[in-house]
Amino acid sequence: MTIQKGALLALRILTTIAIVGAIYFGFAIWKTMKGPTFGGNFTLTYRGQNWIFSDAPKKLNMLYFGYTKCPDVCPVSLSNAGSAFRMLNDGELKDVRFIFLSVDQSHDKPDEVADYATNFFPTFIGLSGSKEQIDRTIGLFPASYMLEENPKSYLGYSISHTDRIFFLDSDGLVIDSITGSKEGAESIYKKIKEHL
Amino acid sequence: MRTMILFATAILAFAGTASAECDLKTKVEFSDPRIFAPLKGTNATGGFAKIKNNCTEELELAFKSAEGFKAVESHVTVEESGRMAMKKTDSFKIKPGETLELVPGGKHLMFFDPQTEIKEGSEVKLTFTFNKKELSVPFKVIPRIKK
Repeated sequence: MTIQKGALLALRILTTIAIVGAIYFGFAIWKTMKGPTFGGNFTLTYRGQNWIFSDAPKKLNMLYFGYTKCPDVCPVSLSNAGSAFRMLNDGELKDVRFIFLSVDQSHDKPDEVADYATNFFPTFIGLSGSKEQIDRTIGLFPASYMLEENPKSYLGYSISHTDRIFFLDSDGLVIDSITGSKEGAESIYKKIKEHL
Repeated sequence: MRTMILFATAILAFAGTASAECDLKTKVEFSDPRIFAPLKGTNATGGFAKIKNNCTEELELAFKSAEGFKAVESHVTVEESGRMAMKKTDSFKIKPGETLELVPGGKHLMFFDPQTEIKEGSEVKLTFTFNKKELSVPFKVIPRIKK
């Protein structure tokens, strides 16, 4: 009787281990097939004040990296996004926000970034931060930037950067992305509608 | 033989004269020259146009000045390692009969630090050099944002 009980217990333990193992490996395989997850919570500054993504996330959040003295791809991307926002109705606008993060920590002042973003749509949020905050944030995403010295140019430098608008869920995780300057406002609008 | 050499020399001399006399005002054609009105929060803006070379010689175009701005430069936007980058260039070359397209996301003009208010609907006079000869062209100031 005792031997039978012991065997039953061992069987139960083995079965439990097998089930847990199967779930673990199944999850690992699913994660591998799904690909890496990008995004997450981040802290930056808005007009010099702390700004945390998770404080007031929307159902859909859009994020773009650039700098205010970039006269080409950034304003084209932001104009396209602004035009897409103008196609949304009031109810849809309550559920979506657009964040512009300046990666030009050395030259862009917080108020300039905030003002610059609102040129394109009144609710666009222009953020800056310390170099550590900016680098940590950009490190969460499949994005990068590089400052290049150019003493022959008027500015003395230029910044190359990823030209993508990232679509984030309320946890800040990337659910989609689009090329900001190449895709028109209509394509951005369709993506917003798809994820709202 | 001597006659042939003289004839060839005459043709070359004529070609040289015709080339030197290319009238920039009538032979260089600007289409839709425009500058985006500067936005708040930035000291830079962009300018675009199509420039056709109707001369019989290749033209090297460089920018000298833009009325109302502290500096003007020619740039090219390129993609490098998945990032968009802007490269300053000293000039653009336009072959005879060809058109240089200055467009967002490609070759374009950059203007820095407006010295006066650059109002939408106004014009900014740009001075170019084509093969070191000057030509001034008005660029229309248009809104960046389509509302």
